[in-house]
Amino acid sequence: MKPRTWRCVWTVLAACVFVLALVPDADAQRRGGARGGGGGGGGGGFSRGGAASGGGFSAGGGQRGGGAQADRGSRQGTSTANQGQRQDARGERQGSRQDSAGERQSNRQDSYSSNNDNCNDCWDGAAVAAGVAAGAIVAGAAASASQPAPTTYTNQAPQQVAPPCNVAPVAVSGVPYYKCGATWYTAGYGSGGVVYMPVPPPPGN
Amino acid sequence: MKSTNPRWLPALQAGCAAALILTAAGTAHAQAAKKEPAAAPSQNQAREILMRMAAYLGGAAKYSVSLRAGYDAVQKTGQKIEFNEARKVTLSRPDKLRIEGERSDGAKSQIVFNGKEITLVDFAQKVYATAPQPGNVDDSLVYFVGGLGMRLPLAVLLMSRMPAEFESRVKTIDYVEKTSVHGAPAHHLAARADTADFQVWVADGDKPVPLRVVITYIKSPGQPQFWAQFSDWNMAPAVSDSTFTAQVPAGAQKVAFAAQLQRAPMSARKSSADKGAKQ
Repeated sequence: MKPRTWRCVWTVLAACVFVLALVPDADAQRRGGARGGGGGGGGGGFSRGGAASGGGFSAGGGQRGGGAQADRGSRQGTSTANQGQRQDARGERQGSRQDSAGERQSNRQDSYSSNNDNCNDCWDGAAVAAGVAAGAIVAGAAASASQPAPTTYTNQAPQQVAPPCNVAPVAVSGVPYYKCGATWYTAGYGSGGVVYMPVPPPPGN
Repeated sequence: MKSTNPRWLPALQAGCAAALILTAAGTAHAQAAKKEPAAAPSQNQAREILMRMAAYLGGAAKYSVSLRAGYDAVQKTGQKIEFNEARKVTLSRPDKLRIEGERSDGAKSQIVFNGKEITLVDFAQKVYATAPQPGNVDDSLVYFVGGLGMRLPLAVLLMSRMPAEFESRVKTIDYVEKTSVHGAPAHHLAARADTADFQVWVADGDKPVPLRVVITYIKSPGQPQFWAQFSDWNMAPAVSDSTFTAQVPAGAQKVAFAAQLQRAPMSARKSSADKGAKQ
């Protein structure tokens, strides 16, 4: 064999050895990551949501909701853990992140509603169907609290144990509002418990 | 010009044609059979028992029942975790309902329809939310679950229109066996709907109440299940106005249902996010 051919062979062999050396490391990292995720979910970090949590005789959009719900639980856990470490200055960024989440969720909500136009019997699967981040809202239900909304499929929001940023509440007509950056939040009750949602500024603000 | 086709080609063509015809005939026959399935006696019997249960519960003026329930929560990893809860339901038609709930982690809640208002109390988080009640129990359940997005397992079983709900949802149903649930003779039925299969054990006799329900969400990842075991059926509970008065603990904070909150316009939130990013 020519010296040039030998050089090629050695180069290929070296590359193989390098790749093989990386594989166990990547695998370990992957497993470590999974453990980390599981660990993060341990001690009460497991999601309580999913398609079966609603106990309906239909899954509604549960096909998507199950997964989304699980995702949400895990995202929520991470978000909550991170929140504890964040300082006020980071509230702005969080607000922005939540806005993005809300936006994504709003898109999901839109598609969920349209999906359910064809599903008259799915109303009892609706509560758990649309896994959402904080900021869920039912289309058309925002108009007035004194008027029951028509039968509209909605979504739910996850348990969120703290306001989106670490600021003192501003009480307006007895309702606490939280100003994170330029965005106002207030507490609402979703099927998973209290959630904090971006709302228009309260009167006088 | 001499033909290049082998002699056996016509025979092969004829054979293929015959095979095609036979296959088509078989498929057509199968499709015809699919179009007109004859309900087996066991299916008729199962449907009749299910509808008897629906009519009995749907037509009851009032009742109370206790139940233990559980469900699979499918985690992101695919792992299924079962969570449990206990509930006590008191229903008085046309428009009153009270449900006391306790989750497996001890969190207690209460849902009350008093005929005018829906109240949800979360004792663990010390909050409560109210909304005007849109009408009778049926309408209020649809509003509560479908409109407000609240969780209320087995809501269909609380409706007076339960027969119609099952009529429209159940695609097939069959009788599994005569059995017993905690010593009570029962009919075990298995039904299939579009997005969920469910099994129900209906008490044998003149009070066809459900004793156990298992629902499998067949189109959801991991096909999770919800189950409930009923006990202490009382078709003549003593109820009064106080039964349907929500017990809001002292110091509990009133919050809106999340679905009722007016959401900040997306543009405002975007601009706030931009400002936040610049600051």
